[in-house]
Amino acid sequence: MFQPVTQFLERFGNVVGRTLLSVIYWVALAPIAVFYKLFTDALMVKSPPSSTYCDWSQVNETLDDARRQD
Amino acid sequence: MYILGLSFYYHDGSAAIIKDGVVLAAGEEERFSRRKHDPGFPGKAIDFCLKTAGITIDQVDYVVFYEKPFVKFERLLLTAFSTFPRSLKVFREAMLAWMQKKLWVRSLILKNLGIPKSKLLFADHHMSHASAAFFCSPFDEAAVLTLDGAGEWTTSTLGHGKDTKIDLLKEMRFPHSVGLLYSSFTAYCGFEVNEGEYKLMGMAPYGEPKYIDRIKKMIRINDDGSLWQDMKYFAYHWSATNSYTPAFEEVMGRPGRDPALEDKSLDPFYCDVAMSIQRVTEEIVMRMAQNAVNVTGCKRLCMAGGVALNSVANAKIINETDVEELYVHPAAGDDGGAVGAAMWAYNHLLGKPRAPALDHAYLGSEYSHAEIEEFLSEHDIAFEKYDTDEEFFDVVTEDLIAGKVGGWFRGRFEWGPRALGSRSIIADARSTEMKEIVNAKIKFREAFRPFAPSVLHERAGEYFEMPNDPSGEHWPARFMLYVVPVREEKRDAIPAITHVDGSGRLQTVMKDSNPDYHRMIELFGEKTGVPVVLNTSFNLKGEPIVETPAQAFNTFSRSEMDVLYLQNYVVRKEAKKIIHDTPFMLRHEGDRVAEMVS
Ligand SMILES: [Fe+2]
Repeated sequence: MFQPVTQFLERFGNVVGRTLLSVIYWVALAPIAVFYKLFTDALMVKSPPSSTYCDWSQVNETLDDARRQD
Repeated sequence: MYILGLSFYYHDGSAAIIKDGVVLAAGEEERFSRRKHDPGFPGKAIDFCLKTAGITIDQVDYVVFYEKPFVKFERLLLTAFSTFPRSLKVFREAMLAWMQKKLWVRSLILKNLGIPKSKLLFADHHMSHASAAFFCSPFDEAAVLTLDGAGEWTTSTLGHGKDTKIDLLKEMRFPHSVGLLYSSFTAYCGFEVNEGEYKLMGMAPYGEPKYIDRIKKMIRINDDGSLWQDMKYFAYHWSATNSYTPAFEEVMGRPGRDPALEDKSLDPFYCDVAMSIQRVTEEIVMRMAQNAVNVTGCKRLCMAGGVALNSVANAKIINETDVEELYVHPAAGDDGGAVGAAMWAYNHLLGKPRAPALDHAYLGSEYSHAEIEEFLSEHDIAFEKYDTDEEFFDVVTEDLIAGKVGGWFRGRFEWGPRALGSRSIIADARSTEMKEIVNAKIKFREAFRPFAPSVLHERAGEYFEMPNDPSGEHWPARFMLYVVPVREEKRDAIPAITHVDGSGRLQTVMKDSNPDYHRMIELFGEKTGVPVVLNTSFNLKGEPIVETPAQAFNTFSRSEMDVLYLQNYVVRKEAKKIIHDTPFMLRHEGDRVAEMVS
């Protein structure tokens, strides 16, 4: 009996979620993204270097490090 | 010390348990849930691992997840910034998925397993791959290469393993990625990303490498094998649906192949494209391997990551670089991350001593004679039972010689994507028609896809031009991860497993690790003079490989297989019927495996 209601709520929630995320994308992220695009090249899109290998930088050598998700 | 390794939320969720560095059990969730490439929390696989180890979760010392979720999240965010405003759709979809599930990995694991926070650890994605490769290998010291689509930021690493430590020296970062490059061509040739790569590999030998120059207009391969992609040709970093842009199609000269065609045409153009990207991939991988030797001074190499499943490239590494011995983890993809994460914690993080090498992939569940007899009797299925193995092998080999195709269910199922003689469909490799029969009537899959041979390890050299491994170990061949030429004089003897270009993706069968399968093939060889059988995975197209006797029986009943071998029990086709309380799900073309890069 409740299944159609939950299905409706789930779909409604997804639509609201998507709309909210679109608003966040255009309003909140836009200025950061424009700044970021202008001043960084995180994806190494420009000027190919002679090697795209870079030094391994993750530090995960102790139990405390390993308990972190970042 | 028990450590449970977990990988999930991308594709092929998996669990593995190790005790004092020895892998006791490992399995993909799809085998238990029956959902192909099930990416979800591997609850059933965990239960299986704990049961096999004979422990409860409270006795597990650490649980290790195979990647760092927040680093991956950071990559998604920064990629969305960098590709603004095209990234709207992918940003929205990715954020929904992350907010609903992926950001809560820690809570999910803690809640589902009921363990204290202090026991939960997170490895780096590529360190998990590297650990699966090196710590499972027989080498005290080796170069290590990992190559996949993308981990957190990393798409490939170069490292040096020694005793209980792996030093990752270099990494290549998203979006420049050998795996994603190959997947873009998988999509361009009309196959599904994360699923159709095997089809592209199978299609390549029908073509010529005519378009290498066109591909190289879009990428640059550096001397050290590192790759730079001109991202104006690729879309996977900002699109939720496309891997490449219209500019890519312009360079290639034709639009992407219509996915609706599935396997219905073998257009020579796309076969040539498949061969061209295969050659480019080989060039990248070989340069990386040579560079790994140069940098580390080691001629032994360990590899993992999805690209390490490219069996043609693996054989070329041995033949055409200074690498002398190669070990590839049997579950080289993200499923293997479960074993890798656990091994990393045990060996690298805690500094505990190495265990003997993982020289087999038989880490799954198994069923006893009593359990099988109970199943057959309960469902009133007629069977023949053989008391001795030798009598049983005699029956099997006579069946194969008579042209029958059999489902072979014996021992523990295999870890990784390949069936290696525990959950296999077997047939006579000498039969010319067998490839078409098995493809059309039994697997219901593309007619061009090749079948693999299982050959006795000690006689492989008689039938195949084995790569120049001076140790003679041929580790990748044990896990069906070499494609090598079938000796020209033997091609007519084993046509069912000889691909159109004269190659075969062989599995060498060891007496030590699978004595029953070895003995059956040996007996087949004694009777026919050819110790080689056709071996393909025991499933239908779109179905996970069977796990239980009931699933094996149902798949047998739904196909045109002639006979089913459940341990020493033989079921003939007259007994076919469907056991209705056994779940059966097929994954259809178009069902998404997972987002390409999230
Ligand atoms: Fe991976």
